[in-house]
Amino acid sequence: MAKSRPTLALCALVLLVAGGAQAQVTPAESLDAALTAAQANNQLVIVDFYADW
Amino acid sequence: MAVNGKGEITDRWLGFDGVEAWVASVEKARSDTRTIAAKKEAFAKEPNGALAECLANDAACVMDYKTAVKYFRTARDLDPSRAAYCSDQILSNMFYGSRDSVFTFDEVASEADLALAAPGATVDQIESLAAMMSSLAQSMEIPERAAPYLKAALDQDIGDAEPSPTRQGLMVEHALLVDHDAGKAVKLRKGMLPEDWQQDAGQLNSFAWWCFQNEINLDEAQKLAMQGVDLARDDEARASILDTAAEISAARGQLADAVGFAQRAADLAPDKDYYKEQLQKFTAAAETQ
Repeated sequence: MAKSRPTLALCALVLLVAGGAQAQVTPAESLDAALTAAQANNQLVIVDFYADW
Repeated sequence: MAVNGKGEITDRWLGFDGVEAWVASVEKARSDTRTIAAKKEAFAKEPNGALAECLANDAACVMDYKTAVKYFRTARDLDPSRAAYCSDQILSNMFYGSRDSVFTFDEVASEADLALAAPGATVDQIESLAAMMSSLAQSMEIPERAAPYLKAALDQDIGDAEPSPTRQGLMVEHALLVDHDAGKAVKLRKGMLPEDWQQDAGQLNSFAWWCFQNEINLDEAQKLAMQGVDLARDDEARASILDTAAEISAARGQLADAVGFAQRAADLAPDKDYYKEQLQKFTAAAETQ
């Protein structure tokens, strides 16, 4: 039985995290847009990587 | 991964088990938005459990298992309330690291033994631990070292409950590695298969391959592999099962058959170098027989 070679699919979801006591999470259009907004408002950007094979 | 507006990493972690765990990870990232570099400096001056956990997760993300284990151990010492999580992470990182020879089996075993002796360890946790240690022992070609973990897991009383798939797998490995009873192992392994497995080429192939890998039940495995060849849906699947049949034939000393099956596999999947290499291997073996 030949070992099948896994096909790795990697994608990233960029989220902008803001808010006070409770986080408000909004999807960003792009990493650049998220970084620009984060820098302006002292927010965090979450980059969630998904792998599937 | 959490980054600030300058694109600097402030936290990162691997995986999450459900929505609540994801939210907890994000909340933790929000609670300390210093960069990883700044957190390392702060830890050097004044260590605490939260920083140690953060730096451990950061190291695990780049597969620096040794550093991850070092920080998780520190975190466990500094914050006993996180001991269960840290111990779990230490074992996981040691397991992955041992595959790259970062840790020896004895080093992993000393941590696994602590986990086994920990009060409150659940049956599921002990079964998972046994599966991990058994896999590690076999990959390091010291299968006898799996025995105490297999015994510990199967000694757990599950009452009338249906054994989990993990437990069923452990029962098979116990029969093979501890009882050395191939017949019992084959019977248990068949019990794990779906009802119609003898009509499913993929299941037939998997079972035949398992027999080949464990060097048991080869006569029946050969018959079942050929049944799989007949049932295969396409040439790719058929080539894979023919390769299994070739390996089993070779293991049974029937090298001419092995060459024949390998040739058929190579013809069915001409773009796969693996089958050409297999054909060369069996041809060379047949010529020197």
